[in-house]
Amino acid sequence: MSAGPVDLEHADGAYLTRDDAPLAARLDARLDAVAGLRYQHLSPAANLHMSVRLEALARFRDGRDPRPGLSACLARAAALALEDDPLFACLFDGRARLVRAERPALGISVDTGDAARFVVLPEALGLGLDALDARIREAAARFRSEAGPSFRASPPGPAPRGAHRRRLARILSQEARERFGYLLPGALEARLAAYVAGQGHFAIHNLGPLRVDEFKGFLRRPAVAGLWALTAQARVVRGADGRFAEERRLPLVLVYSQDLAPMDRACAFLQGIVRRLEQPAALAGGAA
Amino acid sequence: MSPRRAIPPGLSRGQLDDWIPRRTMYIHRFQVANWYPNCCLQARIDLAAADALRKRLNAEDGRPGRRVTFNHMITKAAANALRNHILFNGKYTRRESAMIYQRIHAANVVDTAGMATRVVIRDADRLSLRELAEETHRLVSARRLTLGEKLERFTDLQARVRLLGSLFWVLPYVERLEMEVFHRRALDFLVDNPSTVVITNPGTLGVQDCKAMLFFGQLLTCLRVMAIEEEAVLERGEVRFRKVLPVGMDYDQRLCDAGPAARLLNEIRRNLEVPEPYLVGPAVEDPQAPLAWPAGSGAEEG
Repeated sequence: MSAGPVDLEHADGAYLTRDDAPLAARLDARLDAVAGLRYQHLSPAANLHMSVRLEALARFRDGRDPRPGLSACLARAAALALEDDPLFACLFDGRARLVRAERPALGISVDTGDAARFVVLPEALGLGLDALDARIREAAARFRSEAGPSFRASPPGPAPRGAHRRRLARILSQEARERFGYLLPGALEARLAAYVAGQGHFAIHNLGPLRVDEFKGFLRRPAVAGLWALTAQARVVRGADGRFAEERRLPLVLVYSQDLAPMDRACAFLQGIVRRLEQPAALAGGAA
Repeated sequence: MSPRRAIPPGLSRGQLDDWIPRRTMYIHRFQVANWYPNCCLQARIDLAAADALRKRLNAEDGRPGRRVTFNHMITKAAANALRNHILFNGKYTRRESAMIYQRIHAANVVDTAGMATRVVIRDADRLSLRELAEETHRLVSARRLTLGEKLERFTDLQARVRLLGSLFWVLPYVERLEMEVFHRRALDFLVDNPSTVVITNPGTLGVQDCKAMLFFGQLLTCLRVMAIEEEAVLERGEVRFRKVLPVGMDYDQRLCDAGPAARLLNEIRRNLEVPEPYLVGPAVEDPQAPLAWPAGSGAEEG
């Protein structure tokens, strides 16, 4: 495969560089992430792990028609917990400005095969479990149908002429906006609004269908926290009758910005989500 | 507590005096500006079938240079899985760019003379499990023989010529500047380093969980193998214990999201949980795999 103008006599096998169409297209598609996720844009994130006993939630879900998905239950529990502690739905500019959300929007990540997209649910607290579930399912189906060609199916050959320079120019302008944009009036508000439109104030990632047993993540400003749910795990415990029994648990990971939220407050917030999922009657309510 | 007692056991005072020069290349690499935002996923893999295969192969031929270990099986499983998720088989070139390789050269991190070093298994996906085991034994033995001696010579030289130590602090900045400015220089640098994925096994040191970091000028993916654990499961009311292997994967969140990374991890899990069809021979490429090498790109490499 061509490597553009670079002559690599001792190159070890075929390779794709940024000048090849498949990789260039991918880097272009992820431009925001490539340019935005530098260390200076990251929060000092802590990862907090707790798990939810699933028996009551399974009974609750089985007893409803239509049966709500786990993502909807997580969204409802998180929305209620955010009502108790709105700090975790705030946006922080990394300097001195903490913006409280009047009506927090939840972002639910959807795996579309090649990348994740977010279903943003504004005013999530006002939505009932059924409405949340319907919206998540509808958006997930739509996102998956809109997915583009895969990396393998992308056209081979060199990227269009000038593509690299155009990408570099876009990255530099984005970098300049991120570094100095806050000096312009209204720029910070626009950036926060764009973030909310893309991911909501508080993002929920359900990695359960991907069979992930453990996760450690990071957090990008301006988010203050994000929630990850992993694959449900079976544990052997001794039951009340003294016999061994299997208990299913759902691991949850709260990644939060340590500079803004003390650990006890983060624990209380995550416990609020765990409690609502273990006593799921609390999830009922809200608009249908 | 006296300063002498603060020295960890097994490390003499003389060795501690040399410690900073020996760690210089790591210290400059671990500057905060050099690391990337990476996520870490972990899967717990049932080892029963892999253990049975390992025992069978070692019963057939258990000579020291040919013995198959879990480490070899994991390297093979990872290389096989990467064949269908080639996007993770690459290196950074510049800050906004990466290079993806068609050939899979797996680097195993080996603890040698108190320093971590890498041995690179070329075309790990194309080797049989036995060939991979032989190659690893050969490379590790050779590296253990040579590295300690080289390290001693380097430390002696650095102690004699103090300027050399100072230069080591400047060189990475010069190198990074060159890589930022000249793409060609970056590519040359990467070609000198043949590995395309790194597999580290802190589990042999008893580590149960950890998170690694990805650095500028390095590989896109790091696989971590933790200590084997026993996990209780319930079968027909009876408690049974099974061996599980936690395998973690660090990947750059900028190149892909959790979905593709988790699918790679699950393919490694499948290779180890159903090892007979997948681990014994060369890798089988799935023509439908969405993240495999782009169809029509690149000639068959030699």
